Amino acid sequence: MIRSLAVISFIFLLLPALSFGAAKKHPPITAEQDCEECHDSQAQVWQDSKHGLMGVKCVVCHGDPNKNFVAKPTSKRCVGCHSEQVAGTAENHKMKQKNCWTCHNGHSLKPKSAKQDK
Amino acid sequence: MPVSSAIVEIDVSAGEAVLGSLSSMSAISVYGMKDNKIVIVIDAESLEIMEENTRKIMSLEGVIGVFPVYSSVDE
Amino acid sequence: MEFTRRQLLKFSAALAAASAIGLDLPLPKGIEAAEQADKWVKGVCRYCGAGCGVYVGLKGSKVVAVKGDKDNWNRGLLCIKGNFLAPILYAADRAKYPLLRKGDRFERISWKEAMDLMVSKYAESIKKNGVDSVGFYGSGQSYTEESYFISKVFKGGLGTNNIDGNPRLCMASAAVGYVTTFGKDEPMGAYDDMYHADCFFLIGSNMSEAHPVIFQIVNERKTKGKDVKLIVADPRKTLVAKKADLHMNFVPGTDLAILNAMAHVIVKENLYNKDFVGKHTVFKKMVNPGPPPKIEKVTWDDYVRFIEEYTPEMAEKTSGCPKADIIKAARWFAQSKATSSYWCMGLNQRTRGVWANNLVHNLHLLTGQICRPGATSFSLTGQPNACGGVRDGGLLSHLLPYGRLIANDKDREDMENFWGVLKGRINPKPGPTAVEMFRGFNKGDIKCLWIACTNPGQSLPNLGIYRKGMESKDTFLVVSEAYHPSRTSELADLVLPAALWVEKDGTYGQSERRYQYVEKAVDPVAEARPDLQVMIDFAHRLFKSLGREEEAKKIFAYKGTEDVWNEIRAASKGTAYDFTGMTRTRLKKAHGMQWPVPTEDHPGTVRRYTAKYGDVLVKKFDPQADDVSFYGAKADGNRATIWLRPHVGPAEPADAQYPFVLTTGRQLEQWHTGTMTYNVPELKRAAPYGFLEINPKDAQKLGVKTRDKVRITSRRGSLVMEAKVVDVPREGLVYASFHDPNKLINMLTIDAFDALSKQPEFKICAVRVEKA
Repeated sequence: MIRSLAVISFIFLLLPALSFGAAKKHPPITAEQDCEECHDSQAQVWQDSKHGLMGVKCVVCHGDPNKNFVAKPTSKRCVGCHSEQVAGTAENHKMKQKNCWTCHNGHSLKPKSAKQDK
Repeated sequence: MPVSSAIVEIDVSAGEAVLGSLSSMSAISVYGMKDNKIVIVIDAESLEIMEENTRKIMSLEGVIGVFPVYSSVDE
Repeated sequence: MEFTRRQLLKFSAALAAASAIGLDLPLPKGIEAAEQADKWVKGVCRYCGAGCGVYVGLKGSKVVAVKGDKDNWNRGLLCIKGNFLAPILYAADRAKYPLLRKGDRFERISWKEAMDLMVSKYAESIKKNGVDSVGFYGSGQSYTEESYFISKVFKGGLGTNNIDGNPRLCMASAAVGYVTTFGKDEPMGAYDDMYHADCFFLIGSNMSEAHPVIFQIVNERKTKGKDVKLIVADPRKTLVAKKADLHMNFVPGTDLAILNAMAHVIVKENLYNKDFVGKHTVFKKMVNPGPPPKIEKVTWDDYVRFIEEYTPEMAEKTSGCPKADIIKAARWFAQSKATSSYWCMGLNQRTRGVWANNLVHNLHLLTGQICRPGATSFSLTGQPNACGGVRDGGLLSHLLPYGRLIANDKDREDMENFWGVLKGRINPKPGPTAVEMFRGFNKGDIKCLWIACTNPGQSLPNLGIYRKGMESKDTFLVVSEAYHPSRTSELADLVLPAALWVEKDGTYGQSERRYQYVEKAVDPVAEARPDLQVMIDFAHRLFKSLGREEEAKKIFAYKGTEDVWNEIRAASKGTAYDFTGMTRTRLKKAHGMQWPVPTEDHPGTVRRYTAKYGDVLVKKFDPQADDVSFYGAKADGNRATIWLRPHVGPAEPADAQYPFVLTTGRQLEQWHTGTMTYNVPELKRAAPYGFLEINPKDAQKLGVKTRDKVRITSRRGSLVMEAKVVDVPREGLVYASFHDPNKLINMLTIDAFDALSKQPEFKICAVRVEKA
């Protein structure tokens, strides 16, 4: 049991977004603060992507930092516009954890092999 | 109730078949795959059931080995 | 979103194994599975006039998700607002019960009490002061069934034309523009033209924020097509202007000179289509503005003489737009294989809005860039059913359903027969338009006013004076709203809680003549009711108290929306709109249908006025025509009109005392007056409050930085806002979006309106800006 607790704590260190109940914490920010203030490099990459052009902003995938923030969004966030593709990943890949970000970079949206981001 | 995770090493050519068999086992969740290694979690009601599942996986065609990584008993 | 301890344990276990082989695990499935829908219901987005098809995802009896309809024109795409539609239904400020004003407070009452009170107020006023003492103000967000029905109650039942709606504030100039040029309202083209256009001419449209999904298709065409040109004429450097091959920047309110100058270049350089002009157009000018306006037919030579003075040099001097840009734009427009124009409020919300619309149509008629794939003159719409319900359905105070006019004797007789009401019941005098109606309410000419599904307490121009009228204790204001308090419902005497979007069913008609059925997915919250149900109830009760119970039973005999829809289809029969074949059953299956749809086996019409590309009505109305026929303009021999419209500036240009021009508009994340979008945490986060955009050069002169407070003052009102210093508005121009209920920018805007369309000039007024 002690061992399992130790492992869980270690995981929390790795993934601060995961904790009981309030699973996805972002440091509280004021209404005036824009995401770009702290996440400039990601915002730049996003800006040049199709999502940047279409105005699919940070909140679409990550939620409101103060209310429903998700550090690592799941494919559920993509269903609004890409429901077919999301359903496709579930069907085509028997592995339950396959999602959009397995292949696409989250900010540039380019295939991961292109190594454009991060 | 015990929860444990394991890496299932397989013969790549049998990948689809093994994944299919694993998915059909109720106590098993497949979390991902890299190269010829599959990450699974066994969520069982008792240690006996857990062992039984492990044996079942071992017996699947194309499975090279099952290597437990972590286990805990949730009380 | 519950993530149980057990699931966490399993995920932790998996993570440990995954890290052992260097595999990256995404968030556990438990988190996303919790809100997966188990049923999807087809509908339409609640927001703008693009009219994106959606599926609404239900889990049990709750809407948990929305996804784009891949089989509809939007190909499954949604904008940031549409993506977050679900939470608007469950907002804390949904109006849940009928509320009656008691002094400064509202008190909950029953529906029966509410309807009794409303009906007694209306009946009393009608008996004492006549039918013109009551009114209705409707919305481009109501379903067609609602707008058509209430229009029938007022015009055909009561015999008053005191009924108008908010499309008067956004679409009236486009509607009158189409009618004056082509004889009938609504575009001839479709979104499909975007896939075929080689040149896009955008003027007064910030589609990158107001219509993002349309913007996406334009972009795609530009990227994939060969040598596709994008021209954007706008005094703001919007995102779409930044993407343009040519951005024509100009002093607000001078675009009529630019449009005439483009025509000048096209004629002088012999780029016009002689054959098309000869076969399909006539020329007219307004000799006297009236009313009634005196119009004279003129000739091609008169037209050439008229545009003589609009040289590119003259237009540059007037507008500040370089003459080289005007010449380039004119050449691209005329010489491309297919040119499509798109505009929105930048042209419509103007005192010369109709003229500006006519001048864009002129360019298409001169060059023959019309009525074939990729070549069209297309007005974009701001609300989901301004076209379908209010323009087509004939709710506006000068209209009757499906292209008929109040002022036309035959049209009135037509509708009186169709509705089965006494001959002469419909008042031959068009009623007051939006601003006139609220002026009448201020004066007490209108004593009872019912506002449904819109927010004029925030969206009218020169708002201060109209808010006072709405607040007055001497008049009776009923507001049907899904949210309370809104900036309108807070002024009401009686608030009726309205079912919202998929809490009721009905038909929406968007910009490209596409009608779509929105299915009911969930029950309304608390005691909220569909507006149609309330309207039908109101009509029966009111007629009963006027001693006309039996008549009401005959003319308002509807059980539900489908009964009304079937009558609507019949009302369209034989008109240029004819969608008799658009049955409810077909609409339920289809992903929208574009009228005309004259028979039940007709697939719908992508492009109008062209027999070659599939408009079957050409043969019906103009049997001699071999292809193009503007059959709406029967009196002109089925020809469209090229208008001689001189350049006239705005009602209130900037001057020494008020040196800036203020323009207003929409922001990507927020819609209309924010009642819905402000209830979505993600959207509120992305765009929390209204701000004032100022050009960096102006900001320097004013000593203002981003986030400084500035006071902005017009002749009508004053407001303190945060500044956003950004190279978007040109020098001398400031911009604010009108969505923020706490920053009522319309306190400053001007209520001067277009003489023809009666649409106010929201887009231009003079202001002073200083550091607060």
